[in-house]
Amino acid sequence: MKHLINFKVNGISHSMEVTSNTTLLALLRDSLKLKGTKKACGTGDCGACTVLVDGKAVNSCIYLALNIDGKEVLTVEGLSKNGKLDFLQEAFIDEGAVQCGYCTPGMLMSAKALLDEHPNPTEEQIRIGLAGNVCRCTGYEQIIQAIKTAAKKRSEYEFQDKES
Amino acid sequence: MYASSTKTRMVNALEKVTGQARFTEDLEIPGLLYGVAVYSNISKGFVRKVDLEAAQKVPGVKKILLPENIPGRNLLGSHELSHPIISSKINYFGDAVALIAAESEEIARKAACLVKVDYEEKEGIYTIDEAMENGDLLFNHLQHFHGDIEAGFEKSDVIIDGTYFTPFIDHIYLERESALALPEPNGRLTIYGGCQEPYHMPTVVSEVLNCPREQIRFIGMSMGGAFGGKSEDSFMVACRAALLAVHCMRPVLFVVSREESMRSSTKRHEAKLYYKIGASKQGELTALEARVYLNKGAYLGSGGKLPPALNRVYWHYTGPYRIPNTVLNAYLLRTNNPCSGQMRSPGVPQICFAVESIMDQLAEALNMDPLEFRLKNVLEAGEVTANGIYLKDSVGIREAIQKGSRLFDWDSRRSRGSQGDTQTLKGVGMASSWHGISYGNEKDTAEARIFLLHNGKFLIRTGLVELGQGLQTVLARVASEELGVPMEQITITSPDTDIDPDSKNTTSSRATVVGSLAIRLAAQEAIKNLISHAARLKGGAASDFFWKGGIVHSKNSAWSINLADLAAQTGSERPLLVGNGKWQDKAGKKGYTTYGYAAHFVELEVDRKTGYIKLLRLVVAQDVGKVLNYQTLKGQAIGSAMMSAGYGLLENIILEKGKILNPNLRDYRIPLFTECPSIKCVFIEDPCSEYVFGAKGAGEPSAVPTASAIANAYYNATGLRIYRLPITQENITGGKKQA
Ligand code: FES
Ligand code: FES
Repeated sequence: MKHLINFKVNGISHSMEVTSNTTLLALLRDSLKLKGTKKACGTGDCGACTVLVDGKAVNSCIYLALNIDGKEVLTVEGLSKNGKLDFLQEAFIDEGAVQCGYCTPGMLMSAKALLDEHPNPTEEQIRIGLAGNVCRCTGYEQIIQAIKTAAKKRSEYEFQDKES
Repeated sequence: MYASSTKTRMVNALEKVTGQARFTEDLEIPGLLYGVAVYSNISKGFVRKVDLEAAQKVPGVKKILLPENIPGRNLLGSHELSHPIISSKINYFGDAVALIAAESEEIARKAACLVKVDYEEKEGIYTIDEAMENGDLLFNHLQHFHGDIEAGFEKSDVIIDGTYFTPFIDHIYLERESALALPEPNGRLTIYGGCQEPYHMPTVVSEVLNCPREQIRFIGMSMGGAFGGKSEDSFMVACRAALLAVHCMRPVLFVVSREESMRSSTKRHEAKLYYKIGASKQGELTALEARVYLNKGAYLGSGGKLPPALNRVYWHYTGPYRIPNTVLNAYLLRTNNPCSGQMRSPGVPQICFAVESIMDQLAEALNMDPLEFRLKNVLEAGEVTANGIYLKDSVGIREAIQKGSRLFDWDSRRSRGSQGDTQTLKGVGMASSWHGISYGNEKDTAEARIFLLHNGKFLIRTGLVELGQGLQTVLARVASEELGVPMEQITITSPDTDIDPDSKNTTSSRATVVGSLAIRLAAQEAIKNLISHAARLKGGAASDFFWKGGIVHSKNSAWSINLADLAAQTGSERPLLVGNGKWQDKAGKKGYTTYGYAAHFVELEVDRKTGYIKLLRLVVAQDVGKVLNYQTLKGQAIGSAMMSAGYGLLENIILEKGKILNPNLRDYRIPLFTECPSIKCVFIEDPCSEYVFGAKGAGEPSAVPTASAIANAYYNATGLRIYRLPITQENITGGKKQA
């Protein structure tokens, strides 16, 4: 059975018919051709497919597309604004947090959800906040460093913003 | 002079953080079909009959293939015991009995469920011991003797022996293996995928399709990790995609789910290791006897009866130590389990566990500090290994142990002894290891081609592969040093077998080393050619000109010409081949040119009630010859170490009569953020004179010792010696019956 849903992805409105068993991941990758979001397990166990739905991180491979009706989705393609990279993206590059890059889109989205909730997270909060995202390449050390760096730059920037 | 302190960012990080990097499954091609396999439901037996009727009726199913539909050789490799592409005789649960192409993955999977297979089941053989009893199942037996083993043990004051077990583990590259095959009406076929042996891909596929090798082209996409697995595993998906594609004459993307990947992909060899090592009262090693049994699983793969794991067991079985009398018997066994293949330093982590456990036990028996005991016995430059390799230089194991222990603060942590509180026990441990760089005992070669582009930049093709390890970044840096131009002016390409040279595998920690050697030669030729070219333009002898910073200058006047102008003067807009470098190792070379060394130090705590093990601190000390790019090197070292920590604590393919009971990321766990300790690295730069800037490959040495260091730290904390990895409750208590 098909259902009509209305939603936004990376700021763009869509209206689309989906079947009850379509996953959000399939909608993004197959219907909208947003290939940045990755599938590594398809069972909710790795976090590679993480995107934000109304600001909350979800595993899109086990999240039904029906549930985004009336909501806003943010994917890795929507992270940079007007050609300017997000602090997280910049820090991931600078700190060497990217190796093969397959976990990276999901990592970035989980990290964004974390920083939106805890702008200055402790290392413990980072580890727990991202415990659902696995990475086989890095051993996580440089990812943690990147999130710390991004948090610092982001709060400096926001502070300056308020001052001026 | 090479400046290693410079922090160079990964060249393709930008496309990866923006979601623009294209992996195989991201390709969009009109008319694309999806291919899946129907996997066997038994681990040993025959297919009596396959009933395709119901499956064929599913709307959208395009083709279902059985063994008789294969035009060429139904094997992945040249040996008769290689893996069939589609099987009628079943040897493990990963055999495919049929292939299906359909308009969508969902349809293909639905049809796969409807294929009815009638099997005749047979009793399989699963354990190493069962396979040893049955003489037919011995693929290979290697021996090595050095010195006089009996005299050696006679001279020993202490002798420790034990039998150690290590599990099958999965690579868990996050990107599952996949391949897209695109047929053309003229008979050519292009494969898009990720593969560590690109040049071999057309050979393998053409044999299965029964067509000339030239008909097949392979184009490399971004790769989501490999760790040794994406040679054989990639060939298999490519052959299956290619078969379906030529039968349908449409592009086919062959996909595997995570469960299918774990079921059918290669694993690290399960091993049983009997080791006996003796030492004198003074703490000098006197003799070592090893019997190593590797569980190869169902089929032979690359290397045939001498797979890289068995070969490396031969060259590494003593550990990085000086032992005058040694003997090795190594066995490769066939069972009805998943196939073992290459995984980060194949064969060596298994050996390391046995050797490093006994090194600790010997130290204890001799009442010596385990670190001091190792330092008395580590190999030094100028020595010859038990296997007869002369270690000319770059033997950084002593320095790795010393620098690592200082960073870890070994002396004070160890002297505090096993301690803890009412809730936990604490302990520290260490282990050392070595890993032979590139191929041992084989002709080693690599080639690089440097093209000058119309905009004055360089494009370099090597046929070596970026797997996520940072190869393109490192090679671009090396090329930038050799050519004297900024890194931004250099692009290193992904593989395309129509135009690339054959630099062989991107495995064995060889790509940086052999790629750099070839690039150096190519750069020398490029500079020479560009100078001659400028000389022709300006008029005069080449000796009247010199090269500096990407500009050809006249020695006699202020005249100079930059690369863009030089390129424009050629009158062609095509990339111009300006330098070709072919590096070839010395003829008749036996064994490795050099080894990479690592020493890891671990502090952990064990919960007294639950037994839960928490890693607190890890120090990774690695001898890399020369640091080429600190950032990517650190990533490689830490990533390797955490993979080894998973080997020590978590990872285990649980099998019941060949069936994997945990084929998913929930039940087969790899380390998470919350399980990684604070990690520090120190790199030893003891250069290897044979290599560019002295740098040795770095992807594997640190994938070896962490698990063993953890087992030693566990003993230090609890007094329980571990004989079986991973260190889980049942392996500690011996609750499970011995394999
Ligand atoms: S792909 Fe969704 S959690 Fe792994
Ligand atoms: S960078 Fe490869 S899985 Fe994380």
